Amino acid sequence: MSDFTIGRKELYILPTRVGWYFALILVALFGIAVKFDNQSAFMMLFILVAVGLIAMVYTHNNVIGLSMGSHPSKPVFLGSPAVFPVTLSNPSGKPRHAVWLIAGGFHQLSTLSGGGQQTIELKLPTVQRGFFPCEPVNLSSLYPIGIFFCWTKRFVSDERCLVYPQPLDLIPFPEDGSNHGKEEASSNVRLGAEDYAGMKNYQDGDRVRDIHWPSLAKSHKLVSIQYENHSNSSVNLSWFRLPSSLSTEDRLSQLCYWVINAEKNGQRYQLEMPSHTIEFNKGMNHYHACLRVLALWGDNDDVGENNHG
Amino acid sequence: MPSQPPTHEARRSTLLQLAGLIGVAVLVHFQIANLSIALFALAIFTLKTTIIFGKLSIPPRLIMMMLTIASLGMVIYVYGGWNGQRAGISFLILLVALKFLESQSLRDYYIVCLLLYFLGASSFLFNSSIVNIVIVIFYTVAITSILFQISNPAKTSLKNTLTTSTSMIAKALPLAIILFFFFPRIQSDFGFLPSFDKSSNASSLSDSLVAGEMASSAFNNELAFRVEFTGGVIPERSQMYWRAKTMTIESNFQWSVAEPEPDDFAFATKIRQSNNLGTGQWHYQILHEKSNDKYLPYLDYINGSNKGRTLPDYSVYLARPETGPFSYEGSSTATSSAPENIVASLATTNKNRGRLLALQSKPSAKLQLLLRQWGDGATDDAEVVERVYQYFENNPFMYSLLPPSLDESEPLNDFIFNTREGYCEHYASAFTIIMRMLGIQSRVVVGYQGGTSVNDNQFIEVRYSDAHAWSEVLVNGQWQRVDPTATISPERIKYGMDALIELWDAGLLGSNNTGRALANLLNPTGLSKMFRGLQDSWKNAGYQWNKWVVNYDFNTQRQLLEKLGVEHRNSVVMLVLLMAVGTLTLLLLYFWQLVPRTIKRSESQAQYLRFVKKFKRFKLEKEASETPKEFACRAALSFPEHATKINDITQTYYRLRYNDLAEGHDATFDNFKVLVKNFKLTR
Repeated sequence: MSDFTIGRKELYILPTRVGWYFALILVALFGIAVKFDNQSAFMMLFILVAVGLIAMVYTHNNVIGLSMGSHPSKPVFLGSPAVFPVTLSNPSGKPRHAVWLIAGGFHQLSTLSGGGQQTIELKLPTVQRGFFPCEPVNLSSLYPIGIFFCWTKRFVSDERCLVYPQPLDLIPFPEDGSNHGKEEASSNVRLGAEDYAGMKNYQDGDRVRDIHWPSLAKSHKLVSIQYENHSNSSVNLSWFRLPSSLSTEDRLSQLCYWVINAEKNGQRYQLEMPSHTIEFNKGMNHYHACLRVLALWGDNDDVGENNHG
Repeated sequence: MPSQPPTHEARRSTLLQLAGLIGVAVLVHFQIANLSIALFALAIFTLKTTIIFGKLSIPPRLIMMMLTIASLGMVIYVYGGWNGQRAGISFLILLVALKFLESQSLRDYYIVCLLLYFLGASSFLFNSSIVNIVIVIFYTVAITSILFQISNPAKTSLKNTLTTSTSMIAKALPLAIILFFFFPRIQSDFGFLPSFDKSSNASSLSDSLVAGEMASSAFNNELAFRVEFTGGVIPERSQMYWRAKTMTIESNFQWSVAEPEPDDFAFATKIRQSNNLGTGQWHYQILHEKSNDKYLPYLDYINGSNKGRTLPDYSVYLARPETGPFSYEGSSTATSSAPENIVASLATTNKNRGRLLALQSKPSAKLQLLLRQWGDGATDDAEVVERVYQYFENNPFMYSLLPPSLDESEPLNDFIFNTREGYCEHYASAFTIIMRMLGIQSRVVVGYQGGTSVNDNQFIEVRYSDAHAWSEVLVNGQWQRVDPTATISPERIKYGMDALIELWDAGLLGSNNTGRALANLLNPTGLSKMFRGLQDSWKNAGYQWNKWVVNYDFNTQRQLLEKLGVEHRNSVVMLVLLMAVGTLTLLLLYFWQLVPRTIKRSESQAQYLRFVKKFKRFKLEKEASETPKEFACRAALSFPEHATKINDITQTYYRLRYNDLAEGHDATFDNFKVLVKNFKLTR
């Protein structure tokens, strides 16, 4: 997490359009005060001038000293927004009001109490698979009366969001020849057909019904039973099986859909790509590894496709 | 280009507050603007409020345009054009109302707020009193808080809004005051701005004296001017004759001012050479309220002045009346001095002699008889004057604030022999006419007499109710003041108009209880004394306000700067200086925010730092990266003889800082303090 603290050199301030109108009013008031030699009008003029100056200091002090930090973002599928968590923290004791966090087309208002911090999820639209870098982040504020606004230098986060291809269901799920005919039958009995494979210490995420309760009474430890799924529901998701009429992106999208489907069904699956193959397996690691390959297909592979559009 | 935050919708609660504020502004302008315009603005305002409440859409463009044209037409119809303060302010109030009506986006509301700022400031053109500025400051806080709410997309609590805007204004005030006093004042005319209204409602003394007219001003409690005696010498109340103008033209018991002639100005130039503020018995500063009178009141007899031109009749003439309140200084003496020779020689020229003896009234047969009696056997003019004065003293003349009207064909005769009841102007007028009939050059002087002392003579307030008329006769080449009122109603001269009106209200004027009533009035006790004190403090606040703010001008600024030791009168130098000071202040304010605060250490930490500091003398310093333990090792190696103590202290420090010593913490800390204190390094 790299921090970006807004110091003097990172902060810019200018009058808003309303601020220029305010200046115009002051000029008119000056004319009135001089013309009529009216000292009370002078007093009012100077009060307003001072209010303007004080407002400038307020605007400046509202943003200076804040710091931003970025957090890793989770992969998303193309089409849903990439989420970059950004932490905005206020190390000073004074509250900060109405600070806009702006990145690309995204903006979010936040108010920070003294010493407080806030994590804002930047949601940016994804247009392309692959690594998506975070847009530069700006802070901006109109506080307190909107005649000045300040903005900061751009905070460029190192974080990238991995964008998986958009899942598309174009052709039916492949029925691999090796397990053809068994799959349907096994799908009915799948849950019961798991074979005992051994015992292991309980881990977070293990199913409650897999806990071996008698062991708890004996050893005061949670032990869960492991099963091995010997069902024949495994599937080969192969690039080569796709009709040649499909474009590269469509192929990737289709494979992506299948990977999701296979993982959902608890099947073992293999991803066969022109350059390399990810062997039969299942589980979240395998799932993400497959999707990653699909997302980055062609990026660092000169031999592969060259379509990035 | 920087990215500006997106706009948002204004909240309804904010808009309602804004509506309320505009409503107040419109109502306030009822007293300034024309009634029909104020009503029109009120109607538009009501329409908008209905729209906000009912969440309706704003009227179509065509209607807006028609309303705008109608309002413009109204301003032109009511004021006969664009020019003038009132027309300007009326236009502004209509502009605010119309802009508010058509406002939809956030920026529109911003502009309405800014216009309201301007409107608040322009109200000073009509009223510069201390009450008004307090009102306007509250109004500014209100507008600022609305701007605050508009610019903040998140909902803020009313308390937060008010505290922020109040603190902003409170912080702005000192800066504004500095700017006010040091910003160089320039005099110039911006032609494109609305000019002054000609029919200003400022009060002034009338240029003619009609019997019975001045008496009505006895109830006009409006302030004319305030006087502060700067030399430390304050004249008696009975000597405070404030001369404003002299009246030399008589027509049927009425007097009027003769406009100064070119000769007079020629003499005025001569008089100016002997004009000296340094001489004279009394030195004073006058803060005059807004007035369109061409004559400035000065105390009789004038020695020096710094405003206006002194004419041969001692009145001070101002070619162009001031537009607002103004101030000037003067010095005077009880008897006329240096310019006297010039004035007297002027009076003896034939032309002037004729002027000062001209009469329209003819004496009746009865009066002629009296005139002959007064003139017979008198050795000199002084004796004649004395005889006439005696006549007023010895006959049952009465002083009255509501004198009966006089017979129009022979008012003088009617007054002298029949009604014998009048106000100062009757007596001054009658006396002067009689003097002229007797061949003694004379004139009526109009001005003020006395005044109300505030805060034990700190300053004196003179009101229009203090207006007075008296007579002046030329005897033995000397102008002499003769005030017949003094013999008719000594209270008027001795105690002032205030006392007289109190007596009048109580129905005691001229009765036997006058003495006791006067004593009560002059030496108040208990509650009325407290009330008087409060009144005085309030009057004083108003006086200081006028002295330092309303009448602050180029001269006052120069005086202030000289007092502060700044000799430069060049406004450019001043401006540069001011900017430098302002920039410095802002920079200071800015850096003060950025100066790192010293980190607050816990007590044990402070003690430990003291311990570490003791090694500094021996070139042993603790690195920031070192833990106390590591430092202790290094220190023990350098000072083996102190190793146990160093270890002891470090151990205790660890216990204090990192162990949970809920109990016995204080004892351990005290022990630690002693250990550190007694730790002495020697080599």
